Amino acid sequence: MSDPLTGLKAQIKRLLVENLMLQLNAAEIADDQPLFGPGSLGLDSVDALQLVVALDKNYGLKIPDPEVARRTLQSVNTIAGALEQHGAGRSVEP
Amino acid sequence: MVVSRVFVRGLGAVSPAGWSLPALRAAAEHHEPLPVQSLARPGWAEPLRVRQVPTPVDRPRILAHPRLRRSSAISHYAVAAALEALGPDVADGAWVAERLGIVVCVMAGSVCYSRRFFEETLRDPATASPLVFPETVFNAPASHLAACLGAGGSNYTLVGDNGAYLQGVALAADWLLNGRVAGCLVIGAEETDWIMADALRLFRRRAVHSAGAGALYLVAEDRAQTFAELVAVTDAFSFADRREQVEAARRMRAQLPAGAPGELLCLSTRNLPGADLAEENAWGDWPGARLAPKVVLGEAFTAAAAWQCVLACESLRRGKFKAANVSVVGASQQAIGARFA
Amino acid sequence: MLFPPNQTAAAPVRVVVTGAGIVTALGLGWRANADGFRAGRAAFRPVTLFDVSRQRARLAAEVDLPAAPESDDAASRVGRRLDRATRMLLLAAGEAWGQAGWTGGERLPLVLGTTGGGMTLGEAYVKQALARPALSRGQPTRIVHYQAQRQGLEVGAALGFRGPITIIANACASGTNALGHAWELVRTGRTERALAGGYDALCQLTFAGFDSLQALSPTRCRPFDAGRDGLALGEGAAILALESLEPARRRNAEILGEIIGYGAATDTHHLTQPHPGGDTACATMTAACASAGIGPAQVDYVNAHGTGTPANDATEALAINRWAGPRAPTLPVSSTKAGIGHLLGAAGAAEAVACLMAIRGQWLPPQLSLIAPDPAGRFRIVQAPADAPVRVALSNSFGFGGANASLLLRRWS
Repeated sequence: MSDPLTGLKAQIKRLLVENLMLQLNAAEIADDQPLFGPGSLGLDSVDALQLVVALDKNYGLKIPDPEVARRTLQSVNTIAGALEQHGAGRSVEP
Repeated sequence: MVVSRVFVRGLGAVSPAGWSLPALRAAAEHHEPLPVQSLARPGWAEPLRVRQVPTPVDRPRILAHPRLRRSSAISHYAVAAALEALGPDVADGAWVAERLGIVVCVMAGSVCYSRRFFEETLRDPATASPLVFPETVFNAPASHLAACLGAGGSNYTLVGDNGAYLQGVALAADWLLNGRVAGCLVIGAEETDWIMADALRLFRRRAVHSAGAGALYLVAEDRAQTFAELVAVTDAFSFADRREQVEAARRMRAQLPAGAPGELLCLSTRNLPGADLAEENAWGDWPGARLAPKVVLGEAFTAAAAWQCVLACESLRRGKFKAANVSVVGASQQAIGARFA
Repeated sequence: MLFPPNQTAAAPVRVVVTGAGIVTALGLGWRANADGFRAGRAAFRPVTLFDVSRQRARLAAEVDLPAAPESDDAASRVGRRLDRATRMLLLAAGEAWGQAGWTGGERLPLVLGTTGGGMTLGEAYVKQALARPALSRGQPTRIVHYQAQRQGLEVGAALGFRGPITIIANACASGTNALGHAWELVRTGRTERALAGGYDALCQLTFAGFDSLQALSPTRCRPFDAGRDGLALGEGAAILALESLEPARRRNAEILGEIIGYGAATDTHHLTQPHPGGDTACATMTAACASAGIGPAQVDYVNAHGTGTPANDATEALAINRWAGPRAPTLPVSSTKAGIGHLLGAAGAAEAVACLMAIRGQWLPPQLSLIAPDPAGRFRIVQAPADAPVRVALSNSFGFGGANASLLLRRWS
């Protein structure tokens, strides 16, 4: 039975690839890889806004302002942590 | 150094025939209409008919550029065609940054993401995709192309019917004559979407909506290795209705030479009943060969007008013809023509 | 022929403005707008044209268009059928045409900047295509009149002239590019006259789009303010009648001003964000001055692009500092977007008319919304109505996609 967390992280990676049109497959994204900034996945402010919308649409997670977004969206791990906290471990089936 | 002549130094094309000029040429000269794909139309059982650009066999490296990650298909087509036309000159970084102009001509433009973003807005404005909206602007393809090339000079996006492409050619020629640029890419680009195919069907039931891009690379005379000269672009004869369209096509034709057996006429006709009367009447007296790429490739608006110019110049490069007239009679704005030799 | 050009002037021709028309939320026509710009009036109100209940921002600078005349003559029937964008364009073009006293014309170029054309009709088309897929009634008319070239044809039909219609869609720089292109056509002798400017109507797609990017101010548009939090959208149209000097003199037309310079370049940094260093904006202002043979010291007023977003105003402030150099501390700058909002495709044209008004009236358009200026700008922001000697004005437009353009206008004496 896959660990629910790795299941969630895999979902998050698929969400990243689909919503941000990334030209790589989900498995290539490491759990702790930085998403923004130098040496990262190379995402920018438009990607951040899109992620905020996608997490709201798919998990009901509300990210109120850029400061919270910067902390929450650092990596797949930090997003998973926020979703865990939010109690939205189960994804909203599309 | 006074510039008075403008030459063609490069050609490029992306079309339903493939991601290169040779693919376009082979299809156009085969005269067989390419296969049509079906495109689902929400709310209808019967799909719409389109000709899509195929997924590239070996994906052009440029499509991995970060600026093209979020862009819609129209920017991929425009950039690929432009790079094919620019050829080796792309390596001259400093010259490209300062002296290369870019003109992109569109009619429907970024229609796919515009329809998609508006649909999301109708569902719920609070969750409409911020990643999609910036790509809806008409000048997204021109902006991405400039970023891919590092071209910081003059860069206009023109909007209009098919004939807007030849206005783009004339604009580029003006920039070269005024010394505003030393070389200029002129691109016509369009993408398919069910909303556009739906609209086209309302006017021409049997028309097939198509997509892709065509690119001319024009230079002033001082950069040689050119194979054709831009001899003329007629006035843009605007028209508001069917009757004026016939008159506009006639006046456009009258500004271009009578023609000779060893010359080519590249038309914007589509071989659809009643669709091309104005253009056919205007060119009834043409003595030379004829080519009508849209019969083979479909209605791709400004991209189709670009294919006409690219095919005309390509036939000159091969020495198949001594000169070529290009005739574009749009559906909703203007009749305009050009001559290459 | 568009090429080769039938006659090119040996030396560049001087290009004068003999007519100007403008429609913004300040009102219809020169008088209402001149009064509004001079007083720094802000014309924002809650959006009434579409539902913004689910958006972060709620205000926009909407135009109060006269109700389409109901009487049944041809003009009114046409008036009724036309969308907002076309009606505002026709009002502005009609005003400029009348003021110039032009009558007809065969190969008279019309150069227009726009980002949306008849987008409200495009939206109606998509709504019906989705909600009632089998119903095509009204759809062909929407598709025809949605296209920008159709709006251009309406201008020619309404004013009685024909000629090439060139639509430039360079996002927020479209209006300035359109005026710059028309200026070059007259200057190089391609034509003796040209009608040029820009237009855009508010529409739900664009409003929702800027709001999705969190670019719209949830409070008030405060360009160059330390606490600025976004731009505000507006709508409108502005048209100039441009003419070579000699013919204008021969028919002793009233000359409103002169266009003396234009610069345009592309910032390749990012689709929506300017390069923080402001290199391209600086180069564009420098190029406009070079084409006019003047320097920053000769510029009396800068109408900034000044959207009120953190990114644009920071970059533009740096660029103006660098371009103006020692002139900066005494250089009056303001953004009229604080009053009429961002008109997108029409912004550059409306702001050029604002410069023309400042030049003719000898006053500086203030921005009243400023609380505390961003210290980054070393220039003087005009914060109160002021009379001033304004001989040369520079209008900036730095838009989406890196489209940068600047236009220089000079007083005619």
